[in-house]
Amino acid sequence: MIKAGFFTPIRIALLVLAGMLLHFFSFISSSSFYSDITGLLPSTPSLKLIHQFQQSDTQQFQQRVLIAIKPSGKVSQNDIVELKQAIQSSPFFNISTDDHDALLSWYEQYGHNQLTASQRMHLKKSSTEQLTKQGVALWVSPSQRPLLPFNRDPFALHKEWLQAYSPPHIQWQPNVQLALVTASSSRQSEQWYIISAELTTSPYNLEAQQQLQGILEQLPLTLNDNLLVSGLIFHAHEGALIAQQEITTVGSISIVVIILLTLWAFRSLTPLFFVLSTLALACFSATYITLLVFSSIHWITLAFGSTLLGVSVDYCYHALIKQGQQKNHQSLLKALTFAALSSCLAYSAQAVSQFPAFQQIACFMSVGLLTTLLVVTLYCNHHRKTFGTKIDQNKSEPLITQHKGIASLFNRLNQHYYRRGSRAIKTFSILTALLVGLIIYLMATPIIAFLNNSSPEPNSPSAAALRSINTSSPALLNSERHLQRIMQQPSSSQYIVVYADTFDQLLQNLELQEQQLLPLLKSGVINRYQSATHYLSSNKKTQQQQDVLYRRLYAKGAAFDQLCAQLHIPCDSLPRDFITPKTNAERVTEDSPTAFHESIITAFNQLPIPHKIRAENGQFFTRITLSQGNTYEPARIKEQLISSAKWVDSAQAYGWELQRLKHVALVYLLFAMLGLYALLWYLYRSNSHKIALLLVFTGSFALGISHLFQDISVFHILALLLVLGISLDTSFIYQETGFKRPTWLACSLSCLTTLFAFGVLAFSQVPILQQFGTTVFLGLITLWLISPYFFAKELSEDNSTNSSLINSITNE
Amino acid sequence: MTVVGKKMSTAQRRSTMFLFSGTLIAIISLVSICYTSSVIADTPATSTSLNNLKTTPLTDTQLHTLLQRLQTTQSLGQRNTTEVKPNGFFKQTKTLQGLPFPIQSSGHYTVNRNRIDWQTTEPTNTLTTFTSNGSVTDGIDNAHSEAFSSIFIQLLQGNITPLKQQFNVVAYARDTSNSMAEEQWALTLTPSNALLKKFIQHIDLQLSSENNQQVTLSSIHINEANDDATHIVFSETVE
Repeated sequence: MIKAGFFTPIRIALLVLAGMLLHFFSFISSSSFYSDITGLLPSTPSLKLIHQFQQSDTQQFQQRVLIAIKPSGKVSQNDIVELKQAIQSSPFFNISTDDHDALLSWYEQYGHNQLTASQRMHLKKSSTEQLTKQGVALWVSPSQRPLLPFNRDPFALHKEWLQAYSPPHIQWQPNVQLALVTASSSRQSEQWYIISAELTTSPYNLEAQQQLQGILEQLPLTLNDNLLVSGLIFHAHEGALIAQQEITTVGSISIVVIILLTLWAFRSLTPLFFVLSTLALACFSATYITLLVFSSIHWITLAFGSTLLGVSVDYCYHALIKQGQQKNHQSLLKALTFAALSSCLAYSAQAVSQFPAFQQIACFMSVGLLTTLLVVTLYCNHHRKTFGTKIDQNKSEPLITQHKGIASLFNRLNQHYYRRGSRAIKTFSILTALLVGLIIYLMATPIIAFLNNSSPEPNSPSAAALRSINTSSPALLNSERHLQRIMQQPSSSQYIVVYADTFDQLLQNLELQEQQLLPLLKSGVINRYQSATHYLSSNKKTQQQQDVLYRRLYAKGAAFDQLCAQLHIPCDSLPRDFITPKTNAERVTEDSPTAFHESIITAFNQLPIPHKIRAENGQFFTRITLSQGNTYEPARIKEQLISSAKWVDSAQAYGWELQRLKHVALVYLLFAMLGLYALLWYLYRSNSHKIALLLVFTGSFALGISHLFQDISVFHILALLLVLGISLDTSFIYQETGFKRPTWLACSLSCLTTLFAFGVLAFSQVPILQQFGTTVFLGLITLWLISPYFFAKELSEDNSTNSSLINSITNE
Repeated sequence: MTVVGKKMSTAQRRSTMFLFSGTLIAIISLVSICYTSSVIADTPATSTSLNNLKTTPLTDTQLHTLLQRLQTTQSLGQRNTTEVKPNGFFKQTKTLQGLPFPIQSSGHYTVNRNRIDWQTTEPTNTLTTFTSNGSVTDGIDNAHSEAFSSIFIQLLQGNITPLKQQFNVVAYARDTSNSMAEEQWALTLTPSNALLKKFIQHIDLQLSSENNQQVTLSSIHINEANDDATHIVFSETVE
């Protein structure tokens, strides 16, 4: 029988914790963490179409591994073949020519009417005898290997079609078992061996990443030195490495600083145990709840979340320094509750930012802080119940607060600076107003540009904001770009979207738009364009191509009859479906249009090409991708657009979206500040303006100084919310418990640990974390330096005004 | 009864004997035909198949010696590019999937150091030149024929040893004890890597030597992965 008194709060908490631990270890796995950079991008209605195309790009990109090696003295052809075999022997990769089979199968089913431009020309110009002779040579030559049988494609038209429209990596050379791609530029022509593999697992699988890296390291080549790589797995690997490095650096520095400070301040292992166990519980519950809500956690969340250590330890220090003081205990818990709730509120503002990673960070930090608050409350209650009023005030006070040096430092600072400074609130008000004015002035230009909707320059804040979420190294990005050039891969960020109400109209629009692009091709603005028309034609064009085929090859007495005669084949006995393949219009009559369109679009979208067709709300969409020419100018492309086509620059669109989010965040901030001021006025009446002024000064100073080093992005604004949250914590603590030596010491220790955590983040390789770290670091320094000026006066006022809680708290 | 009791006349005896011997001959013929057809049914259609031969597997050393002899012979036959006299003649039969009729062609070929000129004269005049970089038919480049080209050149040059990197080679000597003058061998090349397996099932070669002299390539049979087959028979004179 369990006694009634068994369920104490601590025991209940321990039971809940045990349950959480059991559940956590039952579902945690390596797939619980990811480093997909696209997971950081916002998902808003205006970007829906771009997202859809991006999704198909990502799907293709994320499972593909491309490696290009230039033969040189360092690496022989055999080395490359061995490398390929090593990749092939791994269970994570699959080197196959399935893509080739997919294209061939598409040709067999839908592509019989498809001709390349040169095939059309050849059929028109060649005589029947020439066509016949070529047909005979094709079938009697021991080296010719048509991929489709004679009775399906007697002139092997599929071979040239496949050669023209297969992506370069599919065109492999069996004699060396490698695809050889020749990249020509105006200066030189170079050959690269291409190894193309398909991932059988997620690109975020750490084991697969390490195995591939290990295989590549066996080559005596470095990236961009005769070795190029492309594929999400490489970016994921770098992202994971950086994130792990960030977590290790931030986490270990924070922990070491916390251990040293705790031991130095309290000279006992018990407070250290309390601090460490609180941090462990906070981190565990934050990870657990975030995983439950989002099912997986981004590495950036963990990297940023490691700063939770710095914030959580603040609460522990306040609790340890104030322990045993009956009155302080109540006011401390009240202040900590206000602080935790206000910080959670600040993080909640991040949750509405539409950035999945920021939503995760908000959840992670909020849960972590609330857990810390819970543990600290339980600890304080337990401590009070255990020792109660029996505790000797002097003995219960931690050693650090009795330290002579600290006491003397505090007294000197208080006497000479804080009290004097506290009389200069008006000066602070003027300085704040000046700072806010300066920031508004500095930010006015981009805001006006945004409101006027003018195009951002490549180095504009919006472009910089987009670049800042990238975790890949410049070497990897250069390698990716170089390989894309070699493979003549079109730009995945700039393309033309063509739309129509019907499937056939879409194909007609595509054909029309491509005709419009021909002059740009000739003038070198673009090198190449690709779209679905290579694989599908409108009914009208299909009919035209079918006429050419029939007239030149399959009509009575034409090349096909002569071919049969010369090969002594009685072709009349063969099925002749290939001679009159069906047009899409004819196929539609057999089936319902919707079913046909669905089936053809599904089959088409499975091809290994980036030109998917989307059908949504009765409209059909697809895109024309472009390879930039020497005289590439988007403006000239825009001039050639037909009415049912639209120019898309996804990098610009994302940049604008980040800009928009920045302004939305600013508006949130403004309203949050107004709401906060109302709350402060309700709680503290006349003292509310001091807290508000401290918040505005700290925030504007941090933002202003950050602006000197870099353009303000949405990430600075999000960091500002955190600064304001922590400033509010400090204000509540000072306001509720009074400006005294223990409080000042607790705040200083807290600031120091948080500063270490965020200070390290300011040196992060990831721009997004670096921006965050810089702003928070500057904000906290400012807070620690100036907050005493706002509250130091309280001590002298308390004696005379008898106004606040503080009057009854201290007997110092 | 008088008829029964009588002795058979000479004419009757002769006709009975004729009938008996006729039946016996018919039975023997029938049995022979049945036996022959069962033997034929047990053997594959191609005459080059190893199962058709009473064979003995070669050891590695024997295979090495054989390949050396073949290479020496074929290299003796190589000519300078300026010479126009062909090395030999060929008759090719292609059996293609979906086509119930074989495609036959014939012509002559010339093996040079780095290339082979393959001149088809029937059914039409077509010149295909094989080099290690691929093949060209009547001036038109045959895309992606590098693999086959380099294999084909090595086969016709008798340079089989390098092909061991891409193929598993098994060799058999045909039992020619009744023919003192002739030796025959059969080689089967099976692709060892997955990519070649996608195109070729196996290549069978027939080699022969008369009076213990030079070893020559008699025929090549290529079985492709899609069950197409190309059978080429070589001869020194036009058949």
